[in-house]
Formats: sequence, structure tokens, C-alpha cells
Amino acid sequence: MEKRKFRSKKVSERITLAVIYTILAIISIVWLVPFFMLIIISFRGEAVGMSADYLFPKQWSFDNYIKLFTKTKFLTWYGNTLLVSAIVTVFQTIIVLMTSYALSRMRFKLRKPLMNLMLILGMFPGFLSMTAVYFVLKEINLTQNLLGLMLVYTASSAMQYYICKGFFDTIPKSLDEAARIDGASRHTIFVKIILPLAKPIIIYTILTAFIAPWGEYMFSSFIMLGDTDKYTVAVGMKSWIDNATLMSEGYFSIFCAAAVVVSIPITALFIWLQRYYVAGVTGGSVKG
Amino acid sequence: MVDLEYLKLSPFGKFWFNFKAFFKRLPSSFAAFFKAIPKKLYSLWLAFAGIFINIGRAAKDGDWKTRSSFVVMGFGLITRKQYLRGILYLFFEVLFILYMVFFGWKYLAKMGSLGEVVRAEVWDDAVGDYVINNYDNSLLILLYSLLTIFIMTAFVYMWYQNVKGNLLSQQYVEAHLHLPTTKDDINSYVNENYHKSLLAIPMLGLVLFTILPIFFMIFIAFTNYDQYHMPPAQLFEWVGVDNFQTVLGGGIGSNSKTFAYTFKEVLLWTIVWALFATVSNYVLGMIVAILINKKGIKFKKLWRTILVMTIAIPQFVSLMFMSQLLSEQGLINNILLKWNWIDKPVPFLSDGTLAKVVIIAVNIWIGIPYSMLICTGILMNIPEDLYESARIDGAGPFKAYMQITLPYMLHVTMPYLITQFIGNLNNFNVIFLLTGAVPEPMDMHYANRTDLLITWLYKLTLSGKQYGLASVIGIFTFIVVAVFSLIFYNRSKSVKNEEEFM
Amino acid sequence: MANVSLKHIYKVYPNGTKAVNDFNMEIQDKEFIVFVGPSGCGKSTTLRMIAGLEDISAGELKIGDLIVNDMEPKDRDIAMVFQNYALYPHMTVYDNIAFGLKLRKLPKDEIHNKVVEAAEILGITDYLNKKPKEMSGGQRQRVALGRAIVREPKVMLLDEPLSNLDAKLRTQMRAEISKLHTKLQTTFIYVTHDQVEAMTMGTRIVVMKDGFVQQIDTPKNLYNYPANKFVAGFIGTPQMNFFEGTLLKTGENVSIRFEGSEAEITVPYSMLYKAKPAYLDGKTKVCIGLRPEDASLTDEKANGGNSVIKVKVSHKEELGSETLIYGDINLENDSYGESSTRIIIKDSGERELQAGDVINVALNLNRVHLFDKETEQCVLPRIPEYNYLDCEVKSGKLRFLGAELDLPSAAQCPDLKGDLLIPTDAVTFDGNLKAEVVSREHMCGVNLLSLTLNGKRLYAVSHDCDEGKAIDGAGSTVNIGIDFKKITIISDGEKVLTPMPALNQFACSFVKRKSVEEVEESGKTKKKKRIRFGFTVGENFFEASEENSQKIFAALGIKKAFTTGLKMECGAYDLTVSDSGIAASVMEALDYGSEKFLKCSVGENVVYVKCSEDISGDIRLLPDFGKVGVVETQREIKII
Repeated sequence: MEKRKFRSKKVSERITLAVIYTILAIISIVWLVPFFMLIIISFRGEAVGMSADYLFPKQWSFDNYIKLFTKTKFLTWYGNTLLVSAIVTVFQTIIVLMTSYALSRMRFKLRKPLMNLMLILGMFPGFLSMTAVYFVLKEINLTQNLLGLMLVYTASSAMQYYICKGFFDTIPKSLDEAARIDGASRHTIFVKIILPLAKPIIIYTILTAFIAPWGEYMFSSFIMLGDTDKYTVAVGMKSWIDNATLMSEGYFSIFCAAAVVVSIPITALFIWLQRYYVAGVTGGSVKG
Repeated sequence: MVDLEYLKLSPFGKFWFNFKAFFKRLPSSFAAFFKAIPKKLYSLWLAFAGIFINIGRAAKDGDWKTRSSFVVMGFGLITRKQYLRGILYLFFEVLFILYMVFFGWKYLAKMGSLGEVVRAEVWDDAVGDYVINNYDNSLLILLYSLLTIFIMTAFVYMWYQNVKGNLLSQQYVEAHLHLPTTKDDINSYVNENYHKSLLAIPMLGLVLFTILPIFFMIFIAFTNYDQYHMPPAQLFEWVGVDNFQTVLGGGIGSNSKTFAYTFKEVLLWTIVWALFATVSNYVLGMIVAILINKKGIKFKKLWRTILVMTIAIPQFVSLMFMSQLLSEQGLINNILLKWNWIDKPVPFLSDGTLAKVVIIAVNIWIGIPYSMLICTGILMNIPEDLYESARIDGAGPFKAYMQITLPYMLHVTMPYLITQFIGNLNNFNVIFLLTGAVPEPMDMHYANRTDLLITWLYKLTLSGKQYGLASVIGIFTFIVVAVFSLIFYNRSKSVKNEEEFM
Repeated sequence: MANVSLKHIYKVYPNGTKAVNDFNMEIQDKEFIVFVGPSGCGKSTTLRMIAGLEDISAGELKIGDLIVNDMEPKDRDIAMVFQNYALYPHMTVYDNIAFGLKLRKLPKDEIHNKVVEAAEILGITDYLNKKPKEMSGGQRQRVALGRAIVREPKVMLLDEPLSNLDAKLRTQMRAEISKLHTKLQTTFIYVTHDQVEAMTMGTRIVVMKDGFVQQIDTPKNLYNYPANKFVAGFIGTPQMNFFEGTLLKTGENVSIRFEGSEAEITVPYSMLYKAKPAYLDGKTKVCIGLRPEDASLTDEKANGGNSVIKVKVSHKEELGSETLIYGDINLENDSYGESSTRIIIKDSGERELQAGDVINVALNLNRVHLFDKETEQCVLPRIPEYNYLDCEVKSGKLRFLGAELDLPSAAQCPDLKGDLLIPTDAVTFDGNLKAEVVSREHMCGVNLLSLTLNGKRLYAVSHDCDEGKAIDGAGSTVNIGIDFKKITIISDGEKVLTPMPALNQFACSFVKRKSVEEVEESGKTKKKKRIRFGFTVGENFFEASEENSQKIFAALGIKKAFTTGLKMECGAYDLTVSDSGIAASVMEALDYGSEKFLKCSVGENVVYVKCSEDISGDIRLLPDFGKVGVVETQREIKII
């Protein structure tokens, strides 16, 4: 009697597991299929425009990739985005770290009001300020200019202090105090104690800062309006999609090729540093 | 009701009790709020009066050095050997005066009218040709006036600090206390004043690129800046609350009705969207996380990596690809047509209602990996003994989920949920990249059925050039976001307690 | 190597909570001081104030000869060991220890030698190249100690350094830290919540509770003479037994009655002669404290005469070497919880006992402690505060203990029979009563003299400086007198004669005055402006000494110094009648025989002034600012 009950429990457990495996498999397929489609279409050799009613190419070829780099401005856009990303990453990381340290470790009168202010500012749609920023940039001749875009991306970085500050808060205060007694100034504490301990969150900040410009459309389309040489990949690729003539000329496959090229470095970076990203997102609670 | 009686209630009863209590408390909390106002006002008044008291004290008690610094900032400090501070004050004052005389004043004077001289070509005898006159640019006038007001505010603050600082240094000298020297001052900027060194640049960026533009746009909302009043060719002017009336449907313009209708539609959809998008992602993400983390499931890391990899691919790529796949001439429609499952293309993205469903579905596809990650992290943190004790008490998996997992998750992830909700209210990318190209229906003003406030704002600005109206929409967006965040932040205890963890 | 001096140290948080109240202590060089108390008692806050990690709200902190109130931690020449070790996780042990030295820019070789030396002392040489993560708790704590000692600080501060270790390691580290103290010959200040740590390590212990210092004493004195019920209960395991009861003095005996029990014990009065008589009336409830080791099983029968009571056993704890017997003096009770009738007895454990057995327990009442039930203060003090005597006043003469003295005019009372309270320090050594010295004990910085006057006991306190007046010790005879201004006479529950208040108080404020002075400089008279700071009482201005004004500025800050309400405190001897000063009008002239005083009114306050002649009418008083104290009215913080 008891034995049978034990077995039935085991059987039911197996069924549950089987069901879960099935669900997970379906989920994985649903999530991965679009990306496989993207890759497959990018190898399509024939120019069928939008009227294609099949997935697998009739002719597999690298033509789309060759065209992408020779006939379009994609390489320029790619370079633009890479440049913007790299420089924004450096400055944004520095600003976020500085703000986070100040808000986490220093106690000053305006600390709480400042945090509230940034909370409220975060509620304003970022685009609202765009027109004004645009005219400011125009006055100093920075529209249709990568420098202008970098400035816009970096300027409000302070508002992204939240996760980083949360991490700093978990570093015991007694370390600061021990260092103070050892004779360290606040600056020394920041550079020699806190920063070395904040490696995961620094990498997280770098990663998010680096990825953001690749997917940002709103600001870059506005600032670079009209100058195709200064487009970032997002703006450039969207401009193809919006152009019905191009799409009918088979640019869809080229678009897919471009998408693959854009995704490769970021995915690689991501997989390499996944550990830190997950730690940042989850506050360091996922192991393995 | 006594606590013991409360404990006897069913979950629904408890909810009902709390619900009633909330509304019962409402009048008294309102009363308390309004009662607090005079007190707040009084303390504000005290703070305000304190400023003048301090200035008065400096005038009365100050020696000639302190009094001179009313005019020449930092004078007292320099004479008392606090060179660095004194020179900085003086430098700032000189800079301010130069700025006002040569730049700020010109614009500030015209702020009332926003300029009167229209751009035109006039005959210049000296040149012997038509030249462009010295015209006013309303936009620049407004922008620089605001900048000047910001700078003036900063100057008044600095001046006040200067007066206080001078008096203080005088008092220090009189009391034979050690007056911080220049070396001490510099030293303090890596020590007790280190936050000033750290925050100076981030805050400057914030003021110039976020706060100033926001103020600018708020002012723009009260002007008639649109495609017929485009500087530099034309001037625009103050129109009071006309734009607000237009948006709310009380305007005189012929399109005010459409505008109000659009606003209503867009606002409603924005809220519905944010709600659905947040909840669906959260719940489904949690379910996926629970499935992956269930005991006995193998390859946990593999399943997780499959999902996490999709985060790595830039969102705009997947979104644009999806928009292409789903468009009426897109691959999916073509294949379905070929297989004769349908007679005519399905308007996945162009039919209002269907598009809304599709957008939420795509958003689930995009968002689940992320929420799965967060939930996994927290699930792993739920102490195992909670489940063990629940099992000993005889709770099944479902009951354990309802009693332990869900409350725990909700408690911990409240801040995340709130930020997600706010983020979704302003989610530009998903909407714009999926359905941004869908044409606008006749009864809508620069917006299609799936536009959010933020994308509408974008279209109004970029295609419509209706800056004044767009600003009004921006302000309303802020109000919507602020109202929701205030409600949530106040209801969520975990946010309130967040400070205590420090 | 330095003394640490804390004077009137306060920590007041912005919301008004006082974490530390009027902390006064002189720590000698090379002492091992332990701050002990329950969590939240302010011990860590005090330590952190000494370290400079926490601002001092008021008071003066000196390390060596320097006032360090506003000094950065690094300049105070201290080192600190934290509860969670606070080792820098990303540095090796070597770098952890060397960090402070590197910041001080010492030459590399010197750093290396010092680090190696410290590591040798602590036995961590093998771990120098490891990261803290790879080490055990005990090793980490050693590294933390190493980081502290390598700097050769004047004062070592240790904030609960052992509380993260397991019990066995804790005992071991305890011994090592004590050894380290002997070796380094440095002042140690050690914070713990564990009374065993405190008792075993400290040369002196500071017991704190709710921000107040309860007692500062050596471990032995703390154990034997707790100043209040809290200290008594806190020190010693198992805890002291506390019973409620009453004491009734009948003739030369005192009978002790326990609440909730039939038991009554009679002891000779000589055992409790130091107790305050007010508690011996058989009505006032007192808290009777007796340590478990002062109770023992006995075969004697309990009866009214001896100190044996009946106890019902509830359970026992075998500790191997000894047994703790839990019982109840209320035979109806089972005593699982703490109650005022529970008793714990430390016994050798030879007798088999069952729950419910009634046993006879002998109490060693020589070591009994008595506390007030409400204030919890000790009422059986080591140094009695007062002599409580019967007295009789008849036509201006005071009779007590068979002696007779003339009452001075200021201390006149009607004829009566009543109680006389003579403070022990009101017994002077210049009178003409002859008393015999029974014993002389030196404790707490004073000498307690037990005298007999006409065969009756009388206590006096003498300072070493008084001893010039020939006190040879036990058996000798001294001349004594009574300081009448300090005595109280009570008749029928009413105070007929009250002592003169020891402190006068005036409201005052701190002000700045500008004046123009004519100064001669190289033959010319020059007008020179001068700023003076001082106190105003009423309309009088008294210039403050540089030191005092600095203290005011340090405590209140330069802005609040002039707006804060202050109170001036001074004794009757610190005021002199003069031509200028605070206006006062004489209400009464008081003649205490050898000394004369004036009772005057200053505004609303009544003030007593020492005066050699009788004056009446309006006078002016000049305070001696060397001795005056200044208190902030609002927060009751003593500044000077």
C-alpha cells in the first residue's frame, strides 16, 4: 500500500517534469525561431522584395553581406554607432559611479531632495526636452554631429545612479571607517577601496551604457535628421524599412544581414559578460 | 475592530475591511494633509525670513570688510586670507556681470514679447544690397531668457552664500577660532565636501540638458509655436492657456475636436498598454522562472541562456524585423496566403484592435527574458525552509505558490514593477518601431490607434511641427506618469523602507 | 601612550534622542577599559566618538594633551578594530596591514619590517599573501588586530571584536587580546555586550544603559558593590536573585520579610548598618538581591531566628562542576518564569533533588544587596551618604548620640524630637566632640571612617588632604564637629531644617561685545576696537576666558552660541560680595557658627553666598569664573 503510493507520487512527478520540459522546449523554439528566420533570410540570394512567400532561400549566398558593406552606408553607420557607444560608455560610467558614490556614502543636506528631484525628472518623457536640446545644440553647431549625440546621451547619465548606488549601499560602511582611521581621504576610499570592490557593477554599467546607443532611435533620429552620413545603425536601418521602394528591391534581406552584423558583437559581449549583467539586474542574487 | 477579530476574517473579508478602512481614513488623512499645510507654510516662511535675518545681521554686525562684500563678493574672505573662496566668489561675480551686460540682459528684456522685429531683407545703403535685418528670434529669446533666469537664481544664491560666508569668517576671526585656510578648503573637497567635487559635473549636465529644456518646453506650452510660427522666419508669442484648451476640446480651432478625441484615445490606450504590458510580462516571466527553477529540471543554465541571449540582440533589430514579418505584405501574411489559410492579408499591425493585441504579444516576447531573470534571482533568495515548513503544514504546490512565492515576490519586486510600469508608459521603441509607420486614421490627429502619448508627442513634433501643442501633451504625460508613480510609491512599503537598508 | 579624558560628553541626534548622556571619565595610560551594556546603550556610540567617526554633540574629548573634538580620525593617533573585521576584501593580508602605513608615506623597508613584526606577534606570517576571503574568522580578526597595532597608536579601540566568533575561539582570542595589551603597553578601550568578556579583560569597566553611565569600577568592585539593580543583574552568571520584601528595624535587629513567602529572617543591625534608615521602616518595599553563590543548601531547620528559608525546587541545571537549582521561595509557585520569588542556587550538586522537593536554603546575608524598588538605586551603599540618627532639640541645643551641640542661629529650630540626617561629608575634623576611630577604609578615592561617638556608630568621609588633622587609624581618637549647613532634621515626617543648596543657578546668555580701547603704541595713543565675549546675567557682562569661550563655541557652534539659553551654576563659595556684579538683594543672613552666608534673591532665583560679615539691602555678587559651570538649558548639557 505504502509502496504503491510512493510509486504513484513518483509517476506524477515524472509527468509534471515531462510537461514542464515540453513547455520549456516550446518556449525556446518560439523565442529562437525569429532569430533563425532573421539569419536565414539574410542569406537569401534572390531579390524578391516583399512578395516572398517562403522562408528558406532558393539560392544561398553572401550577396547581401557583400552589398551591405559595398553598396550601402552601413559601414559608416556602424562606425558612427561604435564611436558614440565607446565614448558614451566611458563618460557615462564615470558619471554614474561618481553620482552613486556621492549619494551612497556622503551625507549632505541636499541628498534626499536631489534623489527626489531625479526621480521626478525621470517621469518627464525624455523626448519632451528634445526640442530645446536640439536648439541648444543647433546654436553651438552640434546638430547632425556625433559629438552632439554623445553629449545628449551622457548629459543626463546621473539619473541612472539607482542600481549602482544600490550596490554601493551593500558594501559595508565599516570598510570606509577603517580606511578613514587608516588615514584615507574620501577620494582615496572611493578609488582604492570602493571601486575595486565594485567590479561587477562597473561592468554592468559599462555593458548597459555600451548597448544603449545601438538600440536608441528617438534622440538620434531627431538630432541626425537629414544627414545620412551621421546616422547610427538604428536610424539607418529604420530609414530602409520606411522606404517602400527600397524594400521592394529586396532590401529586406540586406536589412536582415545588417541586423545579424549588428547583433554579433553585442551578443558576443553579452555572453562573455552575462554573469555581471545578471548580477546587476538581480542585485547579485543569481549564482552560476 | 480588535486585532483578534480582524484575524478571524476570511481573506476577502480582510480585503474588504482594509478597503473600507482606507476610505474611512481618507477624510481624516485629507484633513491631516490640509492641517499640515499651514505648518509647512509657516516653516517655509521661517526659512524665507531666515534669509533676510541673516542678511540683516551681516549688515548690522558686519565690520567694513564684511559689508564691502555685499558689493564686492568675497572681499572679506580675501582680506581674511581665505584666498581661494574669496577669489572664486569674485570671479563668479565678474563673470556674471559680464554675462548680463553683454548677453543675458538683451534676451531677458524681450521675454515679455518674445521679440518684435520680424526677419526681413532691407536695403542697406552702405552695402548697396538687400541685407537681412537685425531680427528677433523668439525661440532664442525664450531659451536664453530662461538660461539667464537660471543663472540669476544661481547668482542670488551665491551672493547670499557670500554674505553668510563673510559674516561667518568675521565671527571666526573674532572668536579666535581656526579659520579654514585655502589649503584646508582644497583638502575638504576630497574629504567632507567630496560630494561637491563628485556631483558638480553630473549636476551641470542634468541642469543644462534636462532641467533647463523641461522648463523651456513648459513655457513653450503657453506659446503658439507651430509650423506657421517658425523662427527664425516668423515670431511666435504668448497665447496663455489656448493650447491646453485645444487639447482638452474647448479650443476655438477647427481641429480642437479631433485633437481632444485623439488625446482621450491615446491617453486611455497608454494606460491600458502600460498595465497589460507590465502585468503580462511579470506574471509570465515569473511562471517561466518557476518552471526553470523547479527541482528536478535539468539544464537550468541552458534554458536560461536561451532566453537571456534574446536580451543581447538589440531590441530595435528584433522589433523592426517583427514589424516587417507582420506587415500586410510581410512574410507571415504571404505564407499564410500561399497555404490558403486566409483569403486576404491579416492586418496584424494596421487594424487598431488587432494591432493592440499583437503589440502586447510581441512585447511579451521581448520582455519575458528580462523579467524571468529578475524573478529567478529573487526565487533563489526565498529561504528553502519556508517551503519546507509549508510542506509540513500540508500545503500543496499551488497553495505554497499563493501563500509564499507570490507575496514574497510582490513584496521584493514592487520597486521593479513600478519602474517597469513607468517605463512602459513612456515605451517609445516598442510602439514606434512596430506600428510607427501605420498611417493615421481620419479621426485622429497625427496619431494612429496604437500610439502612446510619447510617440504622439514625437510625431506632433517631428511631422506636425506643433511644438506648443506637443508641449502640452508632454506636460500631460508627466502628470499621468507622476500620478501613477505617486500612487504606487506610496502604496508600496518596500520602496518606503528602502532607505532603511542603508 | 596617552590618557584619554572625556568630559561631559553628549551625543544628541537631530531628532532629540540622547544616545550618550554626560559621559565623564578619565582613562589612565595603559588601562584596559571595557564599555559594556545591552545593545543600544550608547557604548559603541561613545567609542565611535572617541574614534572620530561620530560627531560629539557636546563635551570635551582629550587624547593625550590634545582636544580632539574636531580632529579627523586619522589625526587622532588611534586605531580601531571592528566587529565585522572590516578587512579590505580585494587586498592581501599584507596589503591590508600595510595600507595605513602606505597612506602615511612611510619608506617601503620600514613598512615591510613593521608588517612582518606585527604578523609575527599575531602568528599570521603564513597568511600574509592570502586574501581575507580565504581565512577563518579568528584569522581575520588577527589581521584586523594586526592592521591596528602596526600603526603603533596611542589608543586602541575595539568594537565588539569577538562577537562574530564561535564560543571556543572567543575564549582563546580573549586571552590573546589581554596578552596583546600587556605586550603593547597601550591604552585599550574595548566595547562588548558580553559581561564575561568585560569581567575577564578589563582593568576598569564602564557599565552603560540607555545612554547613561551606570557605574565605572574595577571588575571586582562591580561584582561586589553594584551601584544599582541593573549593574547587579547585568554582572555575574547566573543572574543575581532579586526578591521583593521589607525591612523592619527593631532595636538592634532587622527582620527581613520576603514578599510572597512566609519566610522571615532576622539579622543583627550591624550587618545592615550602612542601609538608609528610610528603608528600615517595615513598610517601604525594597528589592533584595543575593547572588546564587551566596545561597546554599543546608540541613538546618528554617525558623525565625537564622538566615535559612524554605524553597520549593522546580528544576535544575547540571553544569558538571556545579549544579544550578531553580526554586521558589513561594511554596505555592512552580517558578519556571522569572518572578520576584524565584531563586537560583549554585550548589555542588551532591544531593539528589526532585522537582517539588522543599529544601532549606541558607542565605549569606553579609553579601546581600538592597535596592530601591522604584529608582533601583543601591540603598546599601559602600560609602553611606548619611548618618541617620535620632535627635532632640531643646532650647537651641541639638542632642544626638549622647552629644550636645549648640545650634547656630541659621539652623535654629523649635524644641522637638525627631530624626537627624548628617551627611557623611558633613562631619568635620575640627570640632570639639571626641570620637574614636573604629576602622578606616580607602575606597573610590576617599577614606571612609567608621567612628564611635559615645559608643554609637557614626560615619565620616575624609579626603587624604584632611588627614593632616591627625587620624592615626583604628583605635585613635579624633575631634569632630558637624557642618550645620548640610544637615536635615525631620520631625513627624516634615523637614524642619533643610540643608543649604549646594548649587546656585542663574539664567545667563553668551554675548559678544564690541568696545573701543585706547592703546598706547610706540608713544602714541591709538584707538583700537576690541571684541569681547562673555556671559550676561541680567544686565551684567562678565568677560569669558579664552578657554571658556572656545568651549562654548565648540559645543554650540558659532551661530547658536549667542542665541542658546544657558544656565550658570556655582557654589556658595564661588560667589563674592563686591562693588560690581550681579544685582541681588539680601533676604536673610545665615550664621552657621563657623561660617556665615547670605540668602539673596537674584531675579526669580534664590542664591546663597558666602560672606564674612552681615550685610543687608542690595548687594552685588561676583562669580568666580574659574569654578562656574555653564549648562545649556534646553538639552541640559553641561558645557563648562
